[in-house]
Amino acid sequence: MISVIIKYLYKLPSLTFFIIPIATLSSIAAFPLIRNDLTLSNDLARFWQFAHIIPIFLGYAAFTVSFILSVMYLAQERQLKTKDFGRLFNSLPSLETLDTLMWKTITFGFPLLTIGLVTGTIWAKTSNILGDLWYLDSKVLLGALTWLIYAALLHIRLGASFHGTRIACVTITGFIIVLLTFVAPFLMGSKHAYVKSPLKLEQKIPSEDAGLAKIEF
Amino acid sequence: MNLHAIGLNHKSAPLEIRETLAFKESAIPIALSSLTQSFPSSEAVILSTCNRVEVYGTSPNDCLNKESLIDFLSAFHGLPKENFADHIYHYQNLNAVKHLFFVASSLDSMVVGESQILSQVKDAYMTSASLETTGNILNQLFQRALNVAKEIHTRTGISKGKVSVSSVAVEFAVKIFKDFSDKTVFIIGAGEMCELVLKHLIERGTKTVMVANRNFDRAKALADEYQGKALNYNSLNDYLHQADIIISSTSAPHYVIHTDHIRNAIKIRRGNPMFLIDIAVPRDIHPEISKICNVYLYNIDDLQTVVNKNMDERGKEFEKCQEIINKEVEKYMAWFEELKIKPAIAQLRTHFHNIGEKELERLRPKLRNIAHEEWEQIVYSMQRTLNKILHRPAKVGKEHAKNGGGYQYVETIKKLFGIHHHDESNK
Repeated sequence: MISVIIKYLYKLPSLTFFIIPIATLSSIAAFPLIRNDLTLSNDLARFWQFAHIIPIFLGYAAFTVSFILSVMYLAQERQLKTKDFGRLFNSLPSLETLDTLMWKTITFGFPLLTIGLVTGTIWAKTSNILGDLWYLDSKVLLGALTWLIYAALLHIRLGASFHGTRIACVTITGFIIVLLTFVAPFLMGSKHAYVKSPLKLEQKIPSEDAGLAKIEF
Repeated sequence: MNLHAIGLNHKSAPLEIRETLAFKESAIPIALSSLTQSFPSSEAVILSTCNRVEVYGTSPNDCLNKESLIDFLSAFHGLPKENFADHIYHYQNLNAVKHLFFVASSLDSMVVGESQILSQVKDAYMTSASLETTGNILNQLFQRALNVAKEIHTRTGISKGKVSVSSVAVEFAVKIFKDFSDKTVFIIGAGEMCELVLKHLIERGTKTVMVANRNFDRAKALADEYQGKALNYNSLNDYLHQADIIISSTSAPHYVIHTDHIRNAIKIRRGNPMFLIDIAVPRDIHPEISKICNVYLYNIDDLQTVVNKNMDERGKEFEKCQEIINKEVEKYMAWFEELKIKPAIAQLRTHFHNIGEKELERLRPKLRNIAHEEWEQIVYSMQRTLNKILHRPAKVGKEHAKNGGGYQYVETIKKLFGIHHHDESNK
């Protein structure tokens, strides 16, 4: 959705070329998880759950787009530096456009991630669904690391000589952590992983968005 | 009735001859009216650009032909025809059509694929049309030529990719920067090529220009022209960090901008990208600079390589364009030949119907006693017979016209049926 908005606002058709593989992969990844239904027991839990999921989901979506923009930036930058122009050269936009958009998507995603983390913390503390040592959960730790990386990125971009290529590299690093946040619970075990989750969602939406939202748990 | 095109272009004639034979814009209406007055009922279009002078013409009795057109050029410009006749090319009918389609589509231009020629052909045609020196034949020809050219521009890659050093440089700037209105261009050495790039950038919205040249007066002159600032050449390094785009073309035998200068500049700019264009030979900007992060350096060879590559790409599209043109030429020629057949078929029809009427006149007194209805039947039957006889010659005539054999066919018909008077188009 974010990519579609950017595409029309900034006339950037080449974004689709990059976003489709990611959307497809995440849909495929979400597919086996759809059968896990979660049902909510009370209204309060439901409120915190949505206050946690929706901002985090939107924040991660913005980071996904900023990651794609970074890849596009690095691809275009490489071509301009090496003077070896491939087919993509003409369809990719200017470095300045990509740099501005990277910046905008990160500044859009970061507050959402912050809200998501705060509400998640409140939820974990109040309902105790992750146990007493909730802060040692792999997903919580990686979420905090993601926040730190993007916070550092915003800080250095605002304060120091940090433009273009380096920003793109840090954005890519940040996104790898985001991906790890999704994968880690399966590898290391976590109460966030909904296979083990005691909660059950009422709705059963067989779409990519639903899949992504559920992986949050 | 034939279609003629005579002219000379950058390939066939040197500049001096093209210059003497070129028509000024104000002279074209005079030339056209004198041409159509000397050859009544003729049609003519004059195309005069810096690279070519061409006259397209046709007249019903073919008095407008290669010789008369050369005589006209010679008389109009007061230049003996011996002086330029060797440089003139002449095309007739199919070849003339093909030539115009090539010219309009910019396949015959010095820079293949340039778009200016299309508007020049259009203007030439509009001038003639407004003076009513074009008729059915040239109207069709030029309208089709313009359509073919547009089709070629949209359906093939003949006009894709920039083919001049200055426009290629700007293409790269567009891939680095999005908005030029807040960018500063720094010109070092006030050369012609720098100015050309600057012009392109100003078209894109650049507002701030700085110029440094060893000769301060020249720098001042160029800066004033573009509301820019002239700088002292010796302190140019102090201003490098202000520039987003640097274009250098000094005649200095050594590097003017060194790695340290740009490293400092990029530090002050907090990593904001810089685009450096080095058009000088020998080079002005140290090549090591290209290794600095967020700095993009292009020298004349880099730009020329892209120009050559784009030229090659255009060359590859040539065949595709030729195919489109051949198809359209064929269509036009079918229409043109049919135009020749039509008057002949009309004459044949009149000829047969005259015979039929005479026969009926002869018959009428002999059949005085028959009823009116019966006489009507006889007249009707006669007309039907004539139409049936005439149907095939008309159909075959059109087919011959399509295959280019219209002229012989008309001659044969005239001989066969003894039609001697002038055809309609000669009137």
